[in-house]
Amino acid sequence: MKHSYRVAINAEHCKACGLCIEFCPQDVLGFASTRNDAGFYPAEVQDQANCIGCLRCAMMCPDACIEIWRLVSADDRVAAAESVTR
Amino acid sequence: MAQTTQTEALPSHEEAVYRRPAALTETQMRYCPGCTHGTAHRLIAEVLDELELTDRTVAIATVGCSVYAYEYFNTDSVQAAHGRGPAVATGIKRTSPDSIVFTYQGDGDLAAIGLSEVIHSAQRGECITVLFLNNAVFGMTRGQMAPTTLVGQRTTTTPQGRDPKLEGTPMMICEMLSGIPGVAYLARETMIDPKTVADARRSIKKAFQAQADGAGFSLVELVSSCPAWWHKSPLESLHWIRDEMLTQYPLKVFVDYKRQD
Ligand code: SF4
Ligand code: SF4
Repeated sequence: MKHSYRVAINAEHCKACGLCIEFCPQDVLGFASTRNDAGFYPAEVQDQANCIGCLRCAMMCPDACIEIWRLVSADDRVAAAESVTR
Repeated sequence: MAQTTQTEALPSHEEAVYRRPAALTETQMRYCPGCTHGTAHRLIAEVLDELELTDRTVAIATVGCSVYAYEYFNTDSVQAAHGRGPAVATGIKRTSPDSIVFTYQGDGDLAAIGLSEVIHSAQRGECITVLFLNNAVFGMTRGQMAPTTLVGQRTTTTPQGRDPKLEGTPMMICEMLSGIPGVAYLARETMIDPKTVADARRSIKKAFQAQADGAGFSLVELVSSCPAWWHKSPLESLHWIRDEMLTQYPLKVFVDYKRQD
């Protein structure tokens, strides 16, 4: 089953070090085109559909800006329920 | 059609895969962009949460760039005078033995002014945990030579590079402490890619476990970056650790109280 993920970046805490972008194997992330209040162009999600939920970005972020969620669709839940009853 | 109805009755939802650890406050850390101090804080916080120690932990902030550590950890905390972290930790641990007490010290604090405190704490087998960030410079005061500066490394006080004839050789803290009987866990790790971050997390966890088990003194040295005073980008700094720092400071678990050998 292929999962979908949602990566959330705290743009105000981000200092644009770029490490999340460098270490993402899927080119999901890039720099935003507008500055945050501190004057940095923060990292942003540019291709969410490509994310494989590997957490590398979150592991490398020195500012604990990144949180990741797995999307559990209704279909997944039906499949999970069926696999339990089977 | 019945299948469709059932599907609609189950709304899709999200499961957290990674959250900012609860043992970190919401305060934005003041470190420079790409500095691995923040990574180290995050790993400590993750471990405290995982081991369910956060509520009884006392953090000892020291002097250096990490002086504000007491604002970042969701624990009790004390700010120690320069280099005196392990002495303050000793007092707290002895009067409140159920607490988990850790110091967070840079190489300027631990290896220069605080060298005797850390050695004597290890020698006494004090049941505290020391997180030792080694980035080979005094970062807070603009990048002077530290005891850990590499031979040949240019700093503001060694503009021609560190000369061992004049300034001696880099101080190897883990190697110095590794023969002391009171040491329960001792390791050198780094945080230059996802694998080494995971390794560092594992060692930090073992160090706190050693304390929770009452096994003795534990210390994890984290070979860290200082992009600002190394005059390198965050990524170049990680490469410099890999290519230069780790040659001088090899990664190793020196002592593990659970390892039979
Ligand atoms: S979880 Fe992995 S694939 Fe997804 S954005 Fe982060 S590094 Fe890229
Ligand atoms: S690693 Fe963190 S601080 Fe650095 S660019 Fe990415 S989100 Fe921003």
